[in-house]
Amino acid sequence: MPRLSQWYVKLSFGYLLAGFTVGALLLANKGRPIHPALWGLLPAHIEWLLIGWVAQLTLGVAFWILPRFWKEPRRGNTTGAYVAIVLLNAGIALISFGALAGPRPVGDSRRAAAGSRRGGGLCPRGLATHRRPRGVRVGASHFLECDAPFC
Amino acid sequence: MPALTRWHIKSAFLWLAAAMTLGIALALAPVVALPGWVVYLSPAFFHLIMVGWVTQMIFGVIFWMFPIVSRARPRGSERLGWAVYGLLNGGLALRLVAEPANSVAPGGGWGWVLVMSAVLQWLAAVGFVVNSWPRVRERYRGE
Repeated sequence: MPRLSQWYVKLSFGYLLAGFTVGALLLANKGRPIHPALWGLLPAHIEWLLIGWVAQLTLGVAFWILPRFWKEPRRGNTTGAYVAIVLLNAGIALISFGALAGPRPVGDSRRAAAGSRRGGGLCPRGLATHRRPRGVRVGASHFLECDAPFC
Repeated sequence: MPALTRWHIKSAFLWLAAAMTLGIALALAPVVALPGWVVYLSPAFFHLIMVGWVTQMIFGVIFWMFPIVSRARPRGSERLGWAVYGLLNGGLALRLVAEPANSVAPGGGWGWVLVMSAVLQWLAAVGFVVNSWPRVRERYRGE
């Protein structure tokens, strides 16, 4: 495995660990509420796992394993691959910074905590609480209340 | 292809099929009378795809294809590899059951099952990285 692929793969492993750690906190927070502000980490969780883990690993393995030319340089002009790893990780860092240090959900924390105790919680994007069925069709109302289907 | 990889890949296929089935149910929920707890499976749908299908497929293929550590111990710890398989799939299955159950009846024991699911999946990721990290290297040349 070429050195550049090793960098891609090791960085992707780092994001896998970070993403699963935040994901485990979010899931545990659903089961036994820890703190409603944890939902602010959801964008970082998604970014780290989709881009940092899956996309970055794919790029690294592709650089390693896709067919090469018969003559040197076997991998052609590799400048783009070096630029890509820097840009990709700089982008992830910026998104992470925005998620971690950016504006927090402005909902009432007591209401959010109450929502968590009900088994729902503050939705980070829709700023809406998941509601339990109240004798109405849950399906449509659930999705209308929350514009982030994965929260 | 090693047995562990076959188990990972076949399990990934099953999770993919389950996710697609669940996707149909979620799409039908607004227009067809389905049990109320079905809508609470929306997060599970995403995670069946991203954890059960994509991540599990990656785990299996990496265990198979990455450079070997040594002739004597080519793929690191087989035992840890099987533990990762069990933790990942066990954690995901627990989530599939406990998440809607906890949403329908919050505050009960299902919340702790969700916590257990989170811990199992996290341990799976840690075990995978521990086992795979030494294999991110140049091709094994017998030294």
